[in-house]
Amino acid sequence: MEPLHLGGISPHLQLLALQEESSQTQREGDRQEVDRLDHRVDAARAFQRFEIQRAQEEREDASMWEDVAGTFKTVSIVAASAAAIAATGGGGTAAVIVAAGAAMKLGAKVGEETGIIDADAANVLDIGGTVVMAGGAAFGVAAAASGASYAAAEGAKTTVVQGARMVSTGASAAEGYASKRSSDHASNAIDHDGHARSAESIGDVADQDRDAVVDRSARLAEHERWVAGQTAANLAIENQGRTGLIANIGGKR
Amino acid sequence: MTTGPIGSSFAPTDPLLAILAKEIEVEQENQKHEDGVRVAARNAKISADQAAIQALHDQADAIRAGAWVSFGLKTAGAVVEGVGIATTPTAKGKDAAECSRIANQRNWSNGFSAGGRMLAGQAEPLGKLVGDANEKEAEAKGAAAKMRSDSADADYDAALSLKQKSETHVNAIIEQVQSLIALARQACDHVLSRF
Repeated sequence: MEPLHLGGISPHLQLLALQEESSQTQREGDRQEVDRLDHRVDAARAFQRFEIQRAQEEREDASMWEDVAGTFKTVSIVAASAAAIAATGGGGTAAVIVAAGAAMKLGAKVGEETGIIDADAANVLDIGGTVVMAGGAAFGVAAAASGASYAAAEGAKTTVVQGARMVSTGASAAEGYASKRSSDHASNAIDHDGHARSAESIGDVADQDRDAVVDRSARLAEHERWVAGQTAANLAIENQGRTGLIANIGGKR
Repeated sequence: MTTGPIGSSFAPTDPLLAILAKEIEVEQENQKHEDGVRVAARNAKISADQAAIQALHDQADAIRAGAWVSFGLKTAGAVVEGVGIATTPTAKGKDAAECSRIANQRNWSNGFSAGGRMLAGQAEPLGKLVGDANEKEAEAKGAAAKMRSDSADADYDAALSLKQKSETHVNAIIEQVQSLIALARQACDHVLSRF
């Protein structure tokens, strides 16, 4: 700002000019402050939106892994049931195991078509069903091939039982892993919620600060208008007084 | 409205002006107080928001801790059970000694399997036990912090509203003073014009 040259005008106007200069500096400072706070609010809101989006993605991933965990749990339960059935050595063991596998495959198909489970989970269930069916078929073939050999049939049964138990145990471990992945994604979503909340808080405070500066600026402008009005009125009255005084002096002469 | 130098060195002789000047002084004090309340509410909101954010991160950590416990137990259980299944003997003994050895081995294997299953079975409840307690505590802290933040927001808005009311009141007083001054000047001019 250019320095003011105040020589030659009344002290009253000099004071007014200095006040105006100070107000201009204040106004400029306020404008810069409002710009700065505007940018801060915009950045905070943009970051908040980004974090909300990330949290949403994490929740979708958590949901997907939860489905996978549910599928593995089903596989584990079915395989454990198959093992238990096979262990009894009933005549229809092979048929029961094959039927359980077929049910898993059918469940995968229906689940995917109805949207209860997603494509990945359906795929895992389908593969699990194939494995169980193959186990049942292998058991049936082994039992038939062994003919009347009791020992061979027993060996095949033990193998199927152990295989089914291993599948059940493996599926249970896989379920644990999928559950952990689901929990990891869920907790990441909450962390992103926290970041979004942080951005929201920063944005809110900056918003309040900006409003306060705008409010202060508006009050300053109103004060200036008031001072200007008062000064104009004072000058008018002073001029009237001078004019009257001069007129009186002129009349007496 | 914090206008004019009233309240510092201004000492009007007119009783009405003196009362109005005093009223403005009081309003200016009120406005200062409300400014202080606003700053305090702003700081309280920042502090409460930080506590709420920390509570969310604590909640996430609690879920992670529970998930680790659950996963660790489930994996350990599966490994132990798997060892038990894999070591289960399939052959039959040919004599009494071999039968006894195989029976012994089967007992061990069955023990491993059962232990593994038990371990895996405890994974979920123990994971919940570890995670849920801390998660609920963090959730409660978060909810309390959110309430504090909302309360600070309300305090801020209330202080702002009071200040705006005070400013409106001061504006009205100033306009009244201006009218009085204008009237006094007119009277002076009228008296002077007679000389």
